[in-house]
Amino acid sequence: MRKTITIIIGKIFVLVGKLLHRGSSLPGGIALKLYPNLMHEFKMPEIVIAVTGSSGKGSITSMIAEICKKDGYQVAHNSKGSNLSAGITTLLLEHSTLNGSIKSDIVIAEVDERYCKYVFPCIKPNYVVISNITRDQPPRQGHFDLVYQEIKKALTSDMHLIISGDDPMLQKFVLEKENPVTYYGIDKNRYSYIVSKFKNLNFTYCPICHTKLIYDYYHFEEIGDYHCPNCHFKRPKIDITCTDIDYDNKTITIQNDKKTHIPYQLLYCVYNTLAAYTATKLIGIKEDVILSTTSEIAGNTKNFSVYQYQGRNVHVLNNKNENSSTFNQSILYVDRMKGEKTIVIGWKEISRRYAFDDLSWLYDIDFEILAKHDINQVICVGLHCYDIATRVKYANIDEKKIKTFDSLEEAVPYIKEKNKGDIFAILNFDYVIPFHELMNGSEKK
Amino acid sequence: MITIAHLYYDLLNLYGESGNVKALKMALESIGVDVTVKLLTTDDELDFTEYDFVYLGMGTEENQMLALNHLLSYKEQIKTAIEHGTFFLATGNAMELFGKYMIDQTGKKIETLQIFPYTTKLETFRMVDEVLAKTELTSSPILGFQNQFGVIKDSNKPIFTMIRGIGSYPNSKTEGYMEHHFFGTYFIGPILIRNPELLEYFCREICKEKKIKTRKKLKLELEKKAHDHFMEHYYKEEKATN
Repeated sequence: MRKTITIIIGKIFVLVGKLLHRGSSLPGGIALKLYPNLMHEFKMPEIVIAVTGSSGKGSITSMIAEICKKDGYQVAHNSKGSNLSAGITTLLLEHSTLNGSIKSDIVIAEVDERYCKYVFPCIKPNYVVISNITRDQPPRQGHFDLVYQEIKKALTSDMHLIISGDDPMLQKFVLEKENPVTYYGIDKNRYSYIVSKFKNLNFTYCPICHTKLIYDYYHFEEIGDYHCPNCHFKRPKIDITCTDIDYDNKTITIQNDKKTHIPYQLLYCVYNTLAAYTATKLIGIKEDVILSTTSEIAGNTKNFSVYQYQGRNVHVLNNKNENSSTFNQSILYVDRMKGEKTIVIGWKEISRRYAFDDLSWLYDIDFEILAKHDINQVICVGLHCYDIATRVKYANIDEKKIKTFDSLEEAVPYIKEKNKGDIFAILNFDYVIPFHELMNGSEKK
Repeated sequence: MITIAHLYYDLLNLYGESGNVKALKMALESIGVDVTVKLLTTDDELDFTEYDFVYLGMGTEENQMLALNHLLSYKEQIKTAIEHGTFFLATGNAMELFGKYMIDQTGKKIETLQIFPYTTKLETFRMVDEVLAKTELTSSPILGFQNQFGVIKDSNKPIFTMIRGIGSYPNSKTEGYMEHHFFGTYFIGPILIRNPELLEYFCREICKEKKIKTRKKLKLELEKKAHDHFMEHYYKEEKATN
């Protein structure tokens, strides 16, 4: 009885929330206050897919949901990204009958990496995608090993894991748990490299015998083809392989003959698409349905865009402060580009979450890679412009080329007139839209 | 010629610590001192008679133990090097390795290098805060960050007096340990870059110890601007009283 009443109240709040266009965690939050055990009481459909990890989980979840819808499934998906216990409860309230049965054929839940241990015992996913575990918000997360431990707590042996075989750290889940697992990965291609480009890596030792891993090639950071010279630990046999990447045409090839578009020319798009492909193939969706859907995923200028401004290409790359891997991906992108460059780095604030600001993560980003390029100027913008400028100086970029501005309003007129080369704006998400507006550029691609 | 050993560069590298080594190298070179940086880890043989400056940073709890197991076989060498005036800077939980012992999260006692009298206990909760502190080594306040499980007790030769931050343990007034040329602190990340006066202090002391004479002055304008800007924005009141 209490369950039904809570579900009814929860559903009323879902409805009110929708009418007021309010956040999606509130109804679930209220329901959990009234009935803390509510999440355990829902009767889940046959297929439940959970997606977690440091980054990419929102994109992967959306892609999986789109593919499933295209194939005719009724989908329950937390599309607004509320991924803590309250957000998941809202999702279930939205899609349940009054006695708590989920009406959809499938639940696809993006789950915060630190909330898996609360959410998984309730929604009991049969498939768990773990996108990656990177350096992300150290003041909140502590460090990547603690995130690994948190996710591990949530896994039971019946959950089928979907992970990248290119990431040695994710294999720890397989070594320590005996879950069924399907690996996706990227083969050696024109963009892979032999000598490590990144210095501050999370996982460079064999998890079994602690010998330093050897790489045949890298795609990014410690992602690539690795093996232990001392024991049997190595990159596993990959089940779903990306056999070619063509960034110029924004396409990738899966398993030699299946092509699909990717929304941006960035490595994480390839991995996100592979994760969604693998998950949906595992639940039995046909390849042509998957590929036609992934090909239609449109890019969002909040994440990535390229314009032209007076004959100069302007590349705008979205990053997340306190997450060095997002910045390193942007630097890997810049590293692919030839010619003279002006680099813009900046943000409004480090974090919206805390009353304190950590800057250590700036030194986990390999700005040193930029020093090998023909850099016209590096424009450092925002409250921490001198901290950014100092970081760039220690990346061996000539101090004379480093300029500082307190705001984008001051920086952009200078960028437009006083420097040369293609513009690469490596920005925190809070500067992307303001930068677009001030540049007033037109979309090129 | 100065040799900097960056120990366990690939294990104890959690919070941008490599910045400290970059800072020392670039600063010393800018005043005409030759610098060699040796990147060393668990598969290397260490020889503490070869290094003028030894740096260790923060690692995950697992990596910290890998480093400790390797370091333990050099206990006597390290002790001698410290007594003979070799510079050591251990930031984050690397500091814990030089104390009397550690108690891990399960309550197990872990043998450490036993060079200094302080002890460490790892709590099950993480202590995180921004740092503002004073020290005799510099005239400007120190900026930094703490992010740790460890609490240190019995550090009787602290480096810093806390204005804001966790200190050696929650609500402690002091932080760090300093003896001979050993400097241990929980302040993570590139403290030598964020605090240019601390970098000046180390360069000055290294030159003094190695009897290097140089007329060139360090140029740390950007670093000083970053420090001033941060102080101005976050700690206007503290700045006025200093």
